[in-house]
Amino acid sequence: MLLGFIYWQTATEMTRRVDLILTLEETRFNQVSPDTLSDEIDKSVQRDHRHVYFYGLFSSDGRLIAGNIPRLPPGMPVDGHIHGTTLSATNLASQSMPARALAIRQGSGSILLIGHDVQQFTEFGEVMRSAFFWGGSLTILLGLVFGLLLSFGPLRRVEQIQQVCELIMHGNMKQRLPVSGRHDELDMLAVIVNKVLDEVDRLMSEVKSVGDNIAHDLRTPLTRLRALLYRMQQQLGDSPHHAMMGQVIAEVDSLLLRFRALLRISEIENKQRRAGFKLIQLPEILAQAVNFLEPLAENKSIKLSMVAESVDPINGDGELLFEVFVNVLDNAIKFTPEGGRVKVHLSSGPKGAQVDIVDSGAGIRENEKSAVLNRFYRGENDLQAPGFGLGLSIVMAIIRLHDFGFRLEDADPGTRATIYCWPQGV
Amino acid sequence: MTRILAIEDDETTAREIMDELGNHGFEVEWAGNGQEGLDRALSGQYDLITLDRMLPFVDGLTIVTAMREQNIDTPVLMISALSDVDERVDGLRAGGDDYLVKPFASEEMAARVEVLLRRQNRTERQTKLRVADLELDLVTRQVRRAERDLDLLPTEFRLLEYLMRNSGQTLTRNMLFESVWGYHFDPGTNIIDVHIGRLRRKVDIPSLSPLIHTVRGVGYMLSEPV
Repeated sequence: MLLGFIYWQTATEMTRRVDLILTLEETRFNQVSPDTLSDEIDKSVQRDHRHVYFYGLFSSDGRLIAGNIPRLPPGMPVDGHIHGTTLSATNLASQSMPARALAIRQGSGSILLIGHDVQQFTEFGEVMRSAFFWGGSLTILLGLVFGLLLSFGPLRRVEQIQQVCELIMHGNMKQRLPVSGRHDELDMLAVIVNKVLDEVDRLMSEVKSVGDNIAHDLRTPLTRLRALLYRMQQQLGDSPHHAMMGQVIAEVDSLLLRFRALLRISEIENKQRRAGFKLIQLPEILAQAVNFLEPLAENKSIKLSMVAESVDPINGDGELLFEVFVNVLDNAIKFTPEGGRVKVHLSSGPKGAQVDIVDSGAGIRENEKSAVLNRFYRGENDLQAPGFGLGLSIVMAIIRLHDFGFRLEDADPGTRATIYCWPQGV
Repeated sequence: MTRILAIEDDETTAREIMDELGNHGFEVEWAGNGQEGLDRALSGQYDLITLDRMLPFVDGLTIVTAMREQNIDTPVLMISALSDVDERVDGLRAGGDDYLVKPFASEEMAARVEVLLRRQNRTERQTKLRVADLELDLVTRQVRRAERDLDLLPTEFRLLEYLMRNSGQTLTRNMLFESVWGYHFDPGTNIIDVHIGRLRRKVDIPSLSPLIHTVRGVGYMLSEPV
């Protein structure tokens, strides 16, 4: 821009000066008498040691009378105004040069042409243009290089922040955003977010420990309650209250079942070490689970089928994974109407083994997907089906312990549950 | 008379264990803390011990380890608030014979005690199990009822074997699940009942008197027809 402006300014100024010189020359020749005009022109040509002037006096039929221009340039208007053109001079190498020139008709009918070489401007323009091109290119190139270098730093940090946030979203609440120590905007933001995370983590563990303590403290009283009720029932003998007490005990048993499930979730979630992990054969465990639930499917005339590709052994807790498969399969069978089908497919992908369990039931509504994984949640479609809604929460706890992935999606029709048996990086 | 020692620090739980096992015809003594429990357990005068995992002074694991070190092989039913698989493994590895998680149902506890006592008395290696006109050959894996061969799936065979080995004993759903499938969690739903139902249809055909009985609110029992 700047170079362009300088070039434009300079060119304009130089052209103005040349034009002024040409006007002065015209005035000078006007004051010379027509008889001595050709002599004066010849003198002027001789005086011009720098060979920048063009003079020419032509007869009305275009023949050169005096000067250094062999002929009138074609298309040159004879109007006394200055125009840009190309001229060649006899006393110079015969090449044409860019020039400013004016042509004017004399009283005798002859034509006087005065011109000035502007080759220098053109050269200057060339220099400016090339400076403009190289300077501009270099500026853009350097700008790009430095811009990229400068933006890589923050971009890398944003990427780091993104990765950490994903870990946190997956439940790894101990992760914190990286702080570079440069005290810039990103650092300020990271520090604030980290403070918020500290507080959330503190509140969460407080709630969790309160919950765990309550659960733990309830074990003994619940055992006592169950025992006392049972004892009372034993002593009632044939009394009419015996049956009613049986109902009360059944209710307490169902309470205990849920309670134990809650305790199990908390136990699995608290289980940090994976000492119980060993190499396990997925097809074997999956076949066991299918075999275990097959009669349940048969009772509902549901076709339960399994296809298992060969997969590498995986590191995990076989007992817990069996529980996962039983839970997911049990759910699939539960939510599939009589005469439907449930397909189990173990496949081997580039990252590892994956288990798909697809049923022909009612499916899961989009807005229920994440809710079904929460403790106690039961879908609206299955209010009649038995179950405590805790099954999938246990599944999620076990999946998280293994760092596996779990996904529920609508299979249209039915539901597809997928268990990804490879580390998800959480 | 079968003598049982209950080592349990919670008095109500201990009383319940004593009452329930008393109802089953056992003589039950109570030790309220770990030290007393250890001393009495090491006397070797009991047929079975129920042992709380967490006790004041000396904990359950130490007691069972000490017993086994002194070659006292009294069956031990461990009762614990810790249900984690690792805890169970620790308990059984230390020498416990079975593991029951609190809160538990008295019938479940009693059923497990009965099975443990029965296991203790069974010495000879049998190759054939027989209950009334039902016969199960462990070597040929043939099952016959009233002179007719029964066609059982592998799971049904294992289920029937467990029921027959403990014939006359009440077996809870959890006990069946743990023994036949080898897992230790609440399988939920009524899946064990469904398996039993399937076995029943093959074993107790309508013309014969049933051998598999439902024990209401507790579980199942295989026994001679009464």
